Amino acid sequence: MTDVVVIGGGLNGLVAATLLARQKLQVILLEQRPVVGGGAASSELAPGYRVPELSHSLGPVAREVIHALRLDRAGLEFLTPDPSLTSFTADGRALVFHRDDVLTAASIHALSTRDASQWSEFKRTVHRVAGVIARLDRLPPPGVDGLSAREMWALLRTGRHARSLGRRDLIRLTRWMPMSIADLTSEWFETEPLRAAIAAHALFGNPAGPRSAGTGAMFLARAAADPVPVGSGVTVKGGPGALTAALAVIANEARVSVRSDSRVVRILVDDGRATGVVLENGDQLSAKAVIGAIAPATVFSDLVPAGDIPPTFLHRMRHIRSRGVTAKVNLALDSAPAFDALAGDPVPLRGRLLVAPELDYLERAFDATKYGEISEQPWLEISVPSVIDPALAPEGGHVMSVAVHFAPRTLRSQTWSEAKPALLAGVLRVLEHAAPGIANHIVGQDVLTPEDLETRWGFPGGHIFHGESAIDQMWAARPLLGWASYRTPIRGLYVGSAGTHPGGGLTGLPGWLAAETVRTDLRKNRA
Amino acid sequence: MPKKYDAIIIGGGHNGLTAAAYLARAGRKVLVLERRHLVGGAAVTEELFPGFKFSVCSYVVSLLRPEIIRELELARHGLEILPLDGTFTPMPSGDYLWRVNDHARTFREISRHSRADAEVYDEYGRAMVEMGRFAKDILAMTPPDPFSMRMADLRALGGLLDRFRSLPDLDRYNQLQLLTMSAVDFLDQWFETDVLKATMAASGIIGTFLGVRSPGTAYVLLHHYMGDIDGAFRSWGLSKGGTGRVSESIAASARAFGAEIRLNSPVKHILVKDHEATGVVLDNGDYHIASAVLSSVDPRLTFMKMVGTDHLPAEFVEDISRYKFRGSSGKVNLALDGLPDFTCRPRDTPDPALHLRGAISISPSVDYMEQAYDDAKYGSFSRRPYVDIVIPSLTDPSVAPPGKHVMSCFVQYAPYALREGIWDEQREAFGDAVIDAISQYAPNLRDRILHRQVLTPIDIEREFGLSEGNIFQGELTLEQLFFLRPAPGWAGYRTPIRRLYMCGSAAHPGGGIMAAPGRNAAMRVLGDRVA
Repeated sequence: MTDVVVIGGGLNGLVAATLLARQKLQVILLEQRPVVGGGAASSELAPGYRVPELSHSLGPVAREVIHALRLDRAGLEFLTPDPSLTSFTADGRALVFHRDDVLTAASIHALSTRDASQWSEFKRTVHRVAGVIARLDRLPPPGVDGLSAREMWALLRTGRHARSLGRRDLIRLTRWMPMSIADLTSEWFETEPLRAAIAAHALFGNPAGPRSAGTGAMFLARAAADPVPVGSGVTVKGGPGALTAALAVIANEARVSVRSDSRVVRILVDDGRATGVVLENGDQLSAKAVIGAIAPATVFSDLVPAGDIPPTFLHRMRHIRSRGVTAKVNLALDSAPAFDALAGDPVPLRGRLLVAPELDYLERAFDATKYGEISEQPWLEISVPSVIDPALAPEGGHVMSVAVHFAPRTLRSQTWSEAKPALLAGVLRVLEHAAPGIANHIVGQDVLTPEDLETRWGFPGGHIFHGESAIDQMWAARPLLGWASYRTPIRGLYVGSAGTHPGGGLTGLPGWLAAETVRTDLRKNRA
Repeated sequence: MPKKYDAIIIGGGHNGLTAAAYLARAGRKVLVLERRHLVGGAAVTEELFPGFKFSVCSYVVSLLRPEIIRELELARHGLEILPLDGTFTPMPSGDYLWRVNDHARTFREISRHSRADAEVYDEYGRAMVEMGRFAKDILAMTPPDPFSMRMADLRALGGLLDRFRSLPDLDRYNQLQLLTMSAVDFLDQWFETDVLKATMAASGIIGTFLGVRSPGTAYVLLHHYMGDIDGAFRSWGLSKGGTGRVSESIAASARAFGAEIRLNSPVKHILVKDHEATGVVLDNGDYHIASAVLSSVDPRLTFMKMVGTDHLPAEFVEDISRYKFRGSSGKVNLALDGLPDFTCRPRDTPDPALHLRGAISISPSVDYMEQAYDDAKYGSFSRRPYVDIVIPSLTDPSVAPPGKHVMSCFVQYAPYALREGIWDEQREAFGDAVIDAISQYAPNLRDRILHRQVLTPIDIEREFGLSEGNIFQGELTLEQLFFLRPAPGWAGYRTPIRRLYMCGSAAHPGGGIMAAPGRNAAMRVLGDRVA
């Protein structure tokens, strides 16, 4: 019998497994795909072209996680692109977000003097306000039926921190959460491309338009992990796959038994307590604790026999809203892409590029989702990682990673295998408009639909965060109200993934917090 | 030297009148100043065409607080609520959906569409009533100010949190979802019939610039379960003689307690001296002094126009200028020389008006509702709008000549800010779109119309003094509710100007003919001992 079985070798599973193994616990990590990495993986698109298969940037990984795993000593090189983002305006100009506020303000200045003068104040305010959430992101969420002394103490300290924000910022925090990101940005800025760039960052991954209420909370949640209002686009040399590969090495060193191609088909439950898992090949592994580092909804709908789960709990798990809207197009190019708006300037290609010029552009793209259609004009977040990491492509060549919104998991009038060409065509149309002639330079391509995300990665509904980041599915309600502590109604069974607090985006925090809970329980013999 | 009042109330709408009545009841000398020639604000009955009496704006009563009816003896002063039973939704397929208070009949009707939905309908109703009980207490309370960091406020908030925690698990779960989800997402968890979801979700968008799929619309579903007339949950009612009768009865009550009400008296300024309100100046130059001034008009008019930003802290001015109105609804009032014939109405009933006595909802599908919103998002009125129709003359024949009818059509969406053109040029086109939407189900409607009045948001602003035509004096979205309404720190009816209070729909708990803001504000004034 082993101490802990971790199901799922994505970032959170690797983090949890390694941390527990470092506590001298015997840990087995089971990954169903041939490689670990989950959403943070690289793939070879054409000979010599390596591309971030899904995510092209990190949360970034939380400092606490880097520290706890001593990732900084693992030979990883984190890259923070500068500029972090360049957005193309409707009239063919480029709005560039640099690390340096003065440079960013100068770029905004070309569009609006007023907005330029507001930028650094906005950035500082977001940093302060989101700071409260960043603190909560590092604590297990409280239950609803009474608090333990420890929870109470931690929350009180956060409360004191919130108080130190002062009245104005507290009001902002309260108002911003339920607001729409369109209203929020309009209170600060008048320039459409600027508003849209902030909005796109908030919406990423979720079925929401800039005018949807609650997108303010999505924005703050993202800002808690990465205070740059348009995202900093941190990655790692070699791509996010290199990060998880390094994590796998660290896990091995910590004596985690990492097993790929190992699909779990069932979690064994005996008298309300998890006792182990059954693999697809029939092998059984018994363990004191099992952590589902995959979507919580999948753990309960696919792996635990329904008879072992309280019916209300199961019913609610099945009703977690998880409507994926993200697709991915990866391209291998035989030369550097030439975007008209950049006029040959190579610097912006270092960071991400954004095709989302206006709030209405985002809103119209979202409208299609409501009727089960792919956006006619999708908004695109593009990364050309080979610019700062030339090893990813052969000499002169480049890889381009395009995150596409909105592509709803459930299409009304066709299947995804029918719709795939239309998705690609739509993306190429938008790309061709921004970078005429780009289609002639494509030497390899891969299209991942939300259906692929569901079937190949196991994301319920194809949602990249294992569940929408709606207010009623965050913090103490992620995955479910009353069950946000990583524990579940089945003793010894835990969940720790993007589907748990503080959610998706490759921070490693859910895995870290889940491991803390399991460690505490095992020590107290409560697991 | 003019005589001094204990309290002056700006605006003689139902909230202003309620505040006046409570203050007069407590022995205060009260003056109400109304701009128009009649009391009522948006709750008025007007004889727009000879013999046809219209509830011009607000047209149904449900949330009027029972304690107010009792304490102000409104029944004695002429208030009579007639039941408005049922919602009839015609469908493009030629079928219809009909829900009434009669349980067995509703079960049968919903069963025609889905047996499962019919079965869960009651359970849903019960859950909503439970939720409604929790929400009702919040409506009645004066919001605490969590940003003050005062113990008393924090304790009040903690009390609410404890109440939430003491709810049964299921209710907590529902409550959280209601607060944040979209009406359609919430209903999706219960029902499968599209037209049922569309019609139920419609209540979530009334008066807001949101669609049925927009998060934050679910909690308004509760309103339908909170209206209690004579203790019966869920019923909506019509005021006999039109909605104006509600205001008139409150006015009569106020007068009986000694309040003075002056019509045709628009207020121009609120007199402020040393950060203290001392009285008001009228358009004609008259002025009145008072120990306290209560404004039932919206914050933009109150602060930006009547007080003036010079007298106000900069932060407060910023908050008020950010306060969102964004009117999104219009109204079409029709005088008819006979009932329209809804072709999908079943023919085997002896009473041809049976299905038309309640509300008639043009909400055939969720997509229809959402597309209506999409038009408005990009700055034009809905080409195919959502319409909530009531024919009050079927319930209360006194409002129309014999054999004739009045028809009230509440319409969404009509955005205040049109992207192209102006409302004065699009009013009739908008009216036509509404008639077209209804005519699809009642083709003879057009021939029945004797007169028509079309109210766009700009008309509602001009006529009734509601900024941007918002019927609730400001959007009922989470960031403008409870302790944030109308501005953070000023939700307790007080304002940065001492002796100036807010008592209208822009104060907690917001719009609708609840009269709760008026009562709560009066209690606050009395508690502060300023009048």
